[in-house]
Amino acid sequence: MKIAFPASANKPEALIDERFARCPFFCFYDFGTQQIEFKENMLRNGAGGVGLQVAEFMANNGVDKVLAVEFGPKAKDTLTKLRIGTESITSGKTVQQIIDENRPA
Amino acid sequence: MKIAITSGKGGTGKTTVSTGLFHILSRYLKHHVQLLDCDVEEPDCHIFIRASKTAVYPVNLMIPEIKTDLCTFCGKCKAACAFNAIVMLPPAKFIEVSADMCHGCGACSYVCPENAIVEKPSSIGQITHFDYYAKDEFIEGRLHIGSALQTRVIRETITHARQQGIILFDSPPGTSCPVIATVSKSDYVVMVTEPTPFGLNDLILMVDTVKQLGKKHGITINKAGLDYKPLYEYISQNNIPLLGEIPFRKELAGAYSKGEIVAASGPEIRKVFENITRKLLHETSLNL
Repeated sequence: MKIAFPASANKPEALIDERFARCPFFCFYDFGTQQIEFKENMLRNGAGGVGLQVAEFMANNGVDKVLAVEFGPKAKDTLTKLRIGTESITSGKTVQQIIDENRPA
Repeated sequence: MKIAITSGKGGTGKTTVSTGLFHILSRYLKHHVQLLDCDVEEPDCHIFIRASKTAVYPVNLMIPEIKTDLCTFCGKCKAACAFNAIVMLPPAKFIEVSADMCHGCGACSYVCPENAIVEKPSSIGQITHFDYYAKDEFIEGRLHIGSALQTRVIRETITHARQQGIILFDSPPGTSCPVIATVSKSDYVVMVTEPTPFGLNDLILMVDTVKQLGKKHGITINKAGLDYKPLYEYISQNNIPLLGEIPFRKELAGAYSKGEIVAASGPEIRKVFENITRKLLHETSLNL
């Protein structure tokens, strides 16, 4: 199981980003290997259709579930079509907090 | 001669001026005139121009559909799409065009080496022709609810205009793409404003826009009598022709609220509109 969520910077103490598709970084966390990985969101400055392309990016990275404060309707539809789960999280938390909350017991 | 009636700010009186000019030109000055409602997101001229509908034409967008059994997932269509509308996941044999993002440009089916893409018409709006005092004197463009391609419907509406006479475009509000799509096809721009800080702020944006598009232009002030001097100072400092002023009167608002053409609601206001129309004809060198 691998999750991903938007991060405002590429470090665990950074806050999560309020935006989904246009965030600066994505944090990937693999429950199996317990590995945390940050990837810069190279798609964020696209003129349109960014949500769709980010959904594809998630699928290409083998993500099972995406967590975000809010999803655009097109991003959410596409994630669902690509069989990726979506879950809402509250803003104001750090990357580490989100990982700790989602770490399997 | 194509004349666009615009306003930066919404609710300043574009439709009041458009229907007024149309009425005076058609009814009193006996001009060969045609009114096009280009405010396709919210066309409202039909409320005032009670004309008889004669024909309806659909505005279609050709939306591509990718046949996954023929697709080799080469990615050429995705690379060609300027609107990021194609999502592709080869391992899952998933490829799809998002109809919401697609502009119907046809680039994907053009580049597809497998002929795996078929285009199907999808209706995004409609164009309606009406007879008023003359045949096809009024044409309305209307975007279907949920579609975002205003400019496509506007451009197609304008292709329905006559080739001669005076054509009036009732423009959408603002200064963004739908307005550019309307104004760029006109020869002259009538900017409607009001003596308020909002009216002036958005007029300045509109003036910048029409100057960049290189269009001749003039101003009509609606709700005149609201004492806001900076508007008048701006107009005189920039030497923009003032075509006329429509007074701010309760009885005019009353007529408008009942769906009457304001210009036709009384002899005094008709004279005001007649003067504006004559000044406009003078400015556009269409002197009587």
